[in-house]
Amino acid sequence: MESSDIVLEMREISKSFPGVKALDRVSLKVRKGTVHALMGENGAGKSTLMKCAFGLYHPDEGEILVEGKPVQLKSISDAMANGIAMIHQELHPIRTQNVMENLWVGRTPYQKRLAVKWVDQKKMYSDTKALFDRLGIRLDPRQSVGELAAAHCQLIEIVRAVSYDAKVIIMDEPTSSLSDSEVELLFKIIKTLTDQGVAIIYISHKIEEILQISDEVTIMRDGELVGNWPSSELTQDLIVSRMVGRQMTDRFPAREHKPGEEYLVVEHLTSASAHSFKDISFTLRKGEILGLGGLVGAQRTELMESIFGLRPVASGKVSINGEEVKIRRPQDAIKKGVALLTEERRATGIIPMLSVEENLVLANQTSHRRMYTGGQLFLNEKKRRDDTGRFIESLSIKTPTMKTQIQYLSGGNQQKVLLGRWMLTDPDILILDEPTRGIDVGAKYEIYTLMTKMAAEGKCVIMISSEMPELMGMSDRIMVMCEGRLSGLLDGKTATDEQIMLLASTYHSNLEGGAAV
Amino acid sequence: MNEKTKFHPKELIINNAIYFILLALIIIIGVISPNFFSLDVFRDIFMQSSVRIVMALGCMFIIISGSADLSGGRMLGLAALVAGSLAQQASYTAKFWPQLPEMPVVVPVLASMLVGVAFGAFNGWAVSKLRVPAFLATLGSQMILFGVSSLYFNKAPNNSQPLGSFTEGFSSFGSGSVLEVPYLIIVAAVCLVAVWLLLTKTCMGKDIFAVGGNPEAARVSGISLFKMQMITFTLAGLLYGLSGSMEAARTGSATSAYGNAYELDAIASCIVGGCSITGGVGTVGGVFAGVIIFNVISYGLTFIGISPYWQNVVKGLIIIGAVALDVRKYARKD
Amino acid sequence: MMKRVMAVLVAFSMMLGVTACGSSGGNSAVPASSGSGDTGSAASQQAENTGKQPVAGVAWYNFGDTFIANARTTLNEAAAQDGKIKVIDADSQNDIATQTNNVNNFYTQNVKYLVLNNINTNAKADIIKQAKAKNTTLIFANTDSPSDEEFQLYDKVYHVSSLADQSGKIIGEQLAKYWKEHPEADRNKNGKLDYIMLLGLQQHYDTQVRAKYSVQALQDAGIQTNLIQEAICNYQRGEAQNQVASILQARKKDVEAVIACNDDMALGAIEALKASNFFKDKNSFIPVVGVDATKVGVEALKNGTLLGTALNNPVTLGKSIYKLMSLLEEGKEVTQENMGIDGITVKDHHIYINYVGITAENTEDASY
Repeated sequence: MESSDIVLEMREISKSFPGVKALDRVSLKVRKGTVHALMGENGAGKSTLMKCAFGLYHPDEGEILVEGKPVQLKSISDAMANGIAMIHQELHPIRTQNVMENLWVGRTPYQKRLAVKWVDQKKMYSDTKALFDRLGIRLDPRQSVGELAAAHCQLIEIVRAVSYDAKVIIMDEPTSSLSDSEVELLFKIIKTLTDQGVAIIYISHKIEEILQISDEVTIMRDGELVGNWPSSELTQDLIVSRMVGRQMTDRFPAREHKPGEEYLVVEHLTSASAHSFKDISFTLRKGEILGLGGLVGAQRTELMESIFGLRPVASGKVSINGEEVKIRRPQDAIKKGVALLTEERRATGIIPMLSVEENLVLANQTSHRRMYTGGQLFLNEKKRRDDTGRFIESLSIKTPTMKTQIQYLSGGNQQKVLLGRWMLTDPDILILDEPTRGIDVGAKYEIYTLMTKMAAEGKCVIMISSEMPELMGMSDRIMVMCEGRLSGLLDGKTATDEQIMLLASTYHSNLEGGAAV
Repeated sequence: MNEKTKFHPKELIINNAIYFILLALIIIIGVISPNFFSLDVFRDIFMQSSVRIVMALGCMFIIISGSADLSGGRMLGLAALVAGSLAQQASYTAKFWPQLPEMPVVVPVLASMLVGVAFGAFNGWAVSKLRVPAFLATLGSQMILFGVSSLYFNKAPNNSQPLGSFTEGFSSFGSGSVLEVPYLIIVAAVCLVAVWLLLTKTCMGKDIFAVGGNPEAARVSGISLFKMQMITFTLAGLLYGLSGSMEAARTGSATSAYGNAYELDAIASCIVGGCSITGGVGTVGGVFAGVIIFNVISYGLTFIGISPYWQNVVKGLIIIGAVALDVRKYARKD
Repeated sequence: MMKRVMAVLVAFSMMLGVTACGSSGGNSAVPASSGSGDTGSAASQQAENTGKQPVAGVAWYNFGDTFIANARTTLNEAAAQDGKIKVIDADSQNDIATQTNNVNNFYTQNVKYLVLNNINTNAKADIIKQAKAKNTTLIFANTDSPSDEEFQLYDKVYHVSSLADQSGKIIGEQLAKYWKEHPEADRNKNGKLDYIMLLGLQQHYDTQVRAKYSVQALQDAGIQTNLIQEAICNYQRGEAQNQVASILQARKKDVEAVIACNDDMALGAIEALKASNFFKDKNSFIPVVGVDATKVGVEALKNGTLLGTALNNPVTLGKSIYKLMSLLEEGKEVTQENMGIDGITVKDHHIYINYVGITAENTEDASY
């Protein structure tokens, strides 16, 4: 552990925004050829610290050293010039162009002829190929990006970083939208990179992942440094308690609810879209939490959105409390006591520029208009404030005021507002689509608690989740889908990783024998 | 996080940039020409703004709901023509409808609003049912409206003669006043208050903001996008129509050229007044200030005798400056 | 954040762009005459007549202009009645690019006559050369005249128009007459006629000439003049009303007359003056003059607000254009006798439409 190993050092970095001290004397040392995990709850200051390293923010105090030399990072190009690159959470490839054009965008190789810069396709191809070979990536440089999976788009970003001779690559939640096999591919690339001496700063909420690939872990809390440990000295519980700042014995709350009578019955439901789900039947009992597992593309979201009236259904029957219901639009579903917390928080959940209050009362105000107007023209402002205040308190939503725009809240708090939006409609059936994605540990636990509380009150809960521990830890029963078909039902208490994985990859062709439990 | 927000003068100015710009403009003009500070001048400015305010309020519905509307100016034009043709004195020899008796003032005003509602609903239908992007749907109806206006205007026996000789009632709607306050200013004020109430105090208003802020999220929450688009475009049409009869009454005339490019002024007023072109953001106060700024500029520059050629340059600079200052309030928070 | 700002700017510039296209969008299809019903049916009859009927393409500067609308109706009706020459027309929507497109469109359709109600004041030589290359007879209508050198370029160039300077002269003289008969009109007693000048479009030939010659006429009558302020009101009543209101607030006591380059602006000025307590009685009269003698303008003459106006007879223009083409088609000489229309003066390749001064005394002359 000589100091010459240290490729990036951030010393006593402080950064304030009006009203908030985002970073308070945080230090970070990243060694050559290692994976350095940066952990902390949302709002702990990880992103701010990384934005300082990437030249997006300028620290108020402290200094940044690259290979022992102090540097001034005033812009992204300064950071790049010093060998620091960042892979963003959300990727924006140019879908109409091919892989190599995306890779070299802004610095396309050219040949100058007749005073015009002509694109040098040959050089672009061979340069790309060389990079791919170096990293062991098997991908055609001429393939159109539009056809690529998310993981491959991410690969292009990584290769781009490498092409700039990056010494440090910052990855912010790189696996949040990847499937398991894609994650494996990513880890392989990371291994190749570290073997070649590149350092990776890895931000993730997934503790298993961190323990698997990182060499060192730095933990932050509330803009301050908690500490820095070699991964080998850490366990899941240790990480969690250091992040949250308190002991956390259980990741899931105890389940005390008892499933009652059948409430929701779905029979032979088939999507109107040919490539979506077919012939799905299942039942849900009062006070039950039903987990819905499967791989990306299993059509779980499509199924739930169809039940909620967001997507058209070709055939099949849905009954609630013994009565057949026709749900064609979300309004119908809400009136029947169904609520859906959608998967894409940003795309279909929050209304960013509106306040916490507006976001929270939205669904209830739309479906139960009279509650807010009493039949009059104008809204009852007090009722809206009271509702909002009650949920801010009961869900412990951290927000300066209820008039704050929701976009300035952390992901976990945004998610809690959305949960509140649906709980306010007093649903009998609560469908949650990946409710804890991209949320920190503390908030996750609160959402779990809420789910068990709802179940204890006799409500039905359906949870789509791609995280195995969550599925097994929270569900009474686990329903697994594969390619639009129901491939099996498991008891939540006894189900294992292997069983779920097996069902999730039980494709229709080998389902004929019937693999259901 | 919980510490009480302190008083930041800089923030106060940036968050209310539009109002400070307006104030600064008035002060500058007043310093150059002190008799600018008179009741008559301000009444004139409000009077000239009244039509534009009603128009901009209509436009505001569309912009907040995240849509666009290019047909407003021509809708005002057609509404002005229809109102004008129904408001002529019986004795006038060149009447548009020679057989028609003299009508009370409500007839042309209601007719103009009806024209607006019809075309507004058409816009809403084209956008929500036919799924034509609002930009193109309203560009199309802009052309349709101009065509219809020209046909109407050129109809024998009128043959494209400017409409005039309005009834006393209609004329006084345009130039009369009660207790020194012109009727048109009262109409504009009533519209301002009504729209403010509608947008901030009713479910419908909240739904409009939600749809503009994130249509998908609004849909998931049970709001019907079809219904909201119909409502916003129709309401906008209603206000455009009303502004048409106001413009006809104010000028005492109407031609098919009325309203040309007014929609751009209206959109500009909304944006200068802090509405976000991406939807979901906007205040009635801001839009009001936006309209007044435009009118203070044109009135004020003529008032201090700036050459008409320079007026355009100054106007453009002030608009860019105002928006540049206004966007700062978003810039810092990212 | 940048993204949002960019979005605003891009969207905004798109809007401006799109409407710009929008306002010039009507050019591609040459509209079948959209006038009154009978004209329309006549036009469609002609379309069926596919023999070797010569075609005349007419590019009007703006259909929305009252004067143009009337001239256009007259021309189309004359063609429909006569049937010798087929007339197709297009709206330049006050945009030079649109006009150019329309003209090219006409050439593509092999028009024998091109009637150009020209917007631009400078590019005549090029237009003439183009017509010569296409062997098309070129008629400049209601616009300033090509120069003698330009006439030398091509023998089939004609000019049918009123003289803008004449209209300016007429209204100037009307104002001069009033000024001399009413000494009290010099409200500030400075011995000068202090006036507001309301211009149409920026850089518009007619406007510039009318403004110049109206003042010239005043000065020729021995009156000292003083320009208080000039304002560009795009020939619009509402804009004139706004601008005059502002000028009045600033310099009410100095305003002694308003010269407007059309009636609509004159009437807008009168509205503003009324709001400023003028036209209450004899003592609060302010002379306002305009041009065009529109119906509402004549109405204002009758009720004593508008002092005077000048009639440019659109019917005479429309008739003259058709008669000229018909003479050329028959191979006859273009002379005063052969034209046989009242109120025009023929001189070589020029046909001048005479302006008629209209005041409260002769309003009946304004009907056409």
